[in-house]
Amino acid sequence: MELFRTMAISGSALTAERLRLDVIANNLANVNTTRTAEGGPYRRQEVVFAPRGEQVQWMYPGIESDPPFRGRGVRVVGIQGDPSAFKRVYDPGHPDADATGYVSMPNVNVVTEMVDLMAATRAYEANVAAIGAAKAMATSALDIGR
Amino acid sequence: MIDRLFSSTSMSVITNALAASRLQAEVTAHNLANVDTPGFKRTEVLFSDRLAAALRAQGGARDALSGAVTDPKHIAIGDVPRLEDVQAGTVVRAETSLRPDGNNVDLDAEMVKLTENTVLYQSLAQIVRMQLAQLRTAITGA
Repeated sequence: MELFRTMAISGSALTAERLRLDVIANNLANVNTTRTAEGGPYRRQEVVFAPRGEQVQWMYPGIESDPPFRGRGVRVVGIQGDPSAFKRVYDPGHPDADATGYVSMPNVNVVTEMVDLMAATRAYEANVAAIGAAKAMATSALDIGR
Repeated sequence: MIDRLFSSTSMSVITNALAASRLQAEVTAHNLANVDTPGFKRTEVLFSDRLAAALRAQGGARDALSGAVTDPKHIAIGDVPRLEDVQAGTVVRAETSLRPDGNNVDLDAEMVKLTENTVLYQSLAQIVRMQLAQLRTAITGA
C-alpha cells in the first residue's frame, strides 16, 4: 500500500542513520586504539549512502514524469575506511612506539565525529517527523469513511 | 445518475489532489531519507502548477474558437485540458547544489513542505467528508 510505502521510505533512512550512529560511536570508542587485528592503529570508518530504486529518474534529471514515482529511500552501500594518514604522537614509553619514539594513533578526529553525530541525529529526527506526518495523513484518510 | 453524484468535476479534482498530496508525502520522505546522500538531487511534485495552467487555459478558452471532435480521426482544435484530467507528476531538480558533495536537499524547506502537505491532505479529506455528508443529508432528508 502506498501509505505504508511512505513509512517504509522514512524507515530505510532511520536504519541508515542508526547504522551511521553506530559507526560514529565505534570511531569515538576507538579514538586511542593502537592495535587492531589487521595490524597498526584503528582506521576511521565511514558509511556510504546511495538512493534506493530511482535509476530512471536519477539518469534523466529535469524530465517531468508522471507516477509511479520510483524513489524508495536510502541504503547503505558500504562502510569504508578513511584513507587519510594516521596521527604521529611522540611517546617513547608507549608499548607500540617505533624506534624513533613515535606512536601511530588512529586518524579519528573527535570534533569531526561529534559534528557527524549531530548531523546524523538531526537527520534521524527529520525522518521521524516524516513518519508522524504519514501517520496523521492515514488517520485523516480513515476519517473520510466515518 | 448515481455515477454523477460522485463524479462531479470538483470531486474528481479533489480526488486527484488527494493522490497528489499522497505522492508529495512519498517524495518528501524520499528527499528527507537522502539528506546525507552525496550527489543526491531532490525530486519535486508538479500538481498545483498543472492545475493552475489548466484553469488558465479554461479561462482563455471561453472566448477562443474550438472544434468539436466527433470522430477518432479528427484533430483537436483549441483543445483545452479538462480539470479532472490533471494528474500529479514528478521532476528531479538537478540544477542546484546546496553542499560541496552535490546534494541539494534543503532540510528546512522539506520540513515546511512536510507540515504544509499534512495540513493540505487533512483539509482535502475534510472537504470529501463534507461532500459525502451533504449527499447523506440529501438521501435521508434529515
